[in-house]
Amino acid sequence: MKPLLKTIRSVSVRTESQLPALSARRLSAVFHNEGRPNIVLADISFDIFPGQLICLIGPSGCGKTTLLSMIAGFLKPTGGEIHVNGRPVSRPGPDRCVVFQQDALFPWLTVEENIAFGLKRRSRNRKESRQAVTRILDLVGLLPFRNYLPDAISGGMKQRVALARVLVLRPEILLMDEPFGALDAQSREDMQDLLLELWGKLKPTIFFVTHDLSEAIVLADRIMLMDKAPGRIVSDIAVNLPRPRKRESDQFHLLYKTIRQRF
Amino acid sequence: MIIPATVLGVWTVVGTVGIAPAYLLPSPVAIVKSAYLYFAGNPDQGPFAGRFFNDVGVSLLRVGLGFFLASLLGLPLGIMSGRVPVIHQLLSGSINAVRAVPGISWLPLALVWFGIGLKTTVFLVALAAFFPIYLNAASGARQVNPIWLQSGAMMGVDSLRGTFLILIPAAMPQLITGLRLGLGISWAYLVLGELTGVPDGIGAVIMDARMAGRIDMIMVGIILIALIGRLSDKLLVAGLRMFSKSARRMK
Repeated sequence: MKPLLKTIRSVSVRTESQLPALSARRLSAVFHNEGRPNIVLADISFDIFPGQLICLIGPSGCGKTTLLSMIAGFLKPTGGEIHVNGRPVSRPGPDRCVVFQQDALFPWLTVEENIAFGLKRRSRNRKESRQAVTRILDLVGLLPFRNYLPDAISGGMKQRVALARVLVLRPEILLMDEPFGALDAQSREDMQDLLLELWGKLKPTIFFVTHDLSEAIVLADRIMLMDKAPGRIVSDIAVNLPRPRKRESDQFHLLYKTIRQRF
Repeated sequence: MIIPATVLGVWTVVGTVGIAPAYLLPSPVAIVKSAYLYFAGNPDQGPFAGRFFNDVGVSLLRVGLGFFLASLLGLPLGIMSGRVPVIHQLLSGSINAVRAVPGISWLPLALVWFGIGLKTTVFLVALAAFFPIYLNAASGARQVNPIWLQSGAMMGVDSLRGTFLILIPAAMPQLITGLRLGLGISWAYLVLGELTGVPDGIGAVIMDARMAGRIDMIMVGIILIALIGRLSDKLLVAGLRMFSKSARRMK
């Protein structure tokens, strides 16, 4: 028990020399429901450092998706500030890309065209972006399906395309909103493995929202735990299990139980 | 193919047996003859002989102009009203009020404003075709999955380019529905516009034939409108498919 407790400790702020990739300060969100204010998020502050994989976990309705939407720039916070590499966030942009839970691919574009969509918006030369698309198609294992339409591929493959179309833009923060939540158990584990593999290769900073604790333990460097009414971060846990993590190991189960007790 | 063949069969039998006299229901053979004369005859072979190309050309021009105007106004206004609540509030009341007026009641007014001929017909066609185009564009734009627009925004697409790269392709199935309905109505209102004493056009042929008691030519006119209407619909869809990936790929 003792060595494991070490793996669950509050995260101390890192050395000041490193600028956080993402920082939130005193964020709050108040929505009005038929005139009555509903405090969805209260006083949320955290820093995420470059290359970290953070999982945000909490009960449904605690405001996880609201928080992610604010970081993405889809929603304006009622109070507080969000900075990405020192720049304040005011609207959506390719520096913070989202992989949604639902299928968000453009059904009139092929797999390859979906992935190339964001690149085309930049003034890059065609050959270069072609190569970037081919490389990412290869990384997510979809080269043979490049000319398929989204309707013709499985849910797991669609999420791989969704991941590829944002990774190809090299975002500073990759935001993932329960991206594997709608997949069957097998595909979900495959996608988790794929995400870890891509994270190892490309080292993006990842902010991953989930309600699945084992998913969080498999993936995260650090788990932020939320509670609801109002939504707030109640613990910030470093996960120091060695990688690759075995979902069946005793350490895994112990950590699972220990965190489970907190919410 | 079964229904047209049956109709043709019954029609021939009725004609030959003599249930209906030829001046009320000419036989298919007589109609084919009249159609041939209309298509390829010389003017000295009868009042309608050889008019085909001129009539069809004139009618196509009227329908084309009217439909073009209706699309030019209906598509952008519809898309804006589907996306921008203020524009919707501004437009929907007046447009629904005007829509409730039967198209035919505009005819006297159009005749006074524009006189007999091209302008009146184009006005009627444009007015009638506008509503299905506008309404379908509005509902198509309104129902676009917001997650596609969010996806576009996060990938660096501003709202103007997003309109062309995401909104229009996403709404394409309904835009097509509106355009096809609009084109169909255009043909109906073309005949209305041409029934008012213009010298040429397919509607004028039908009207002249009625005055002259030429049932065969009325039927030639009706069949011609059915055929050209169907052909123009096919061409419209094929054209849209040629220019839009989403028209090709989305159902």
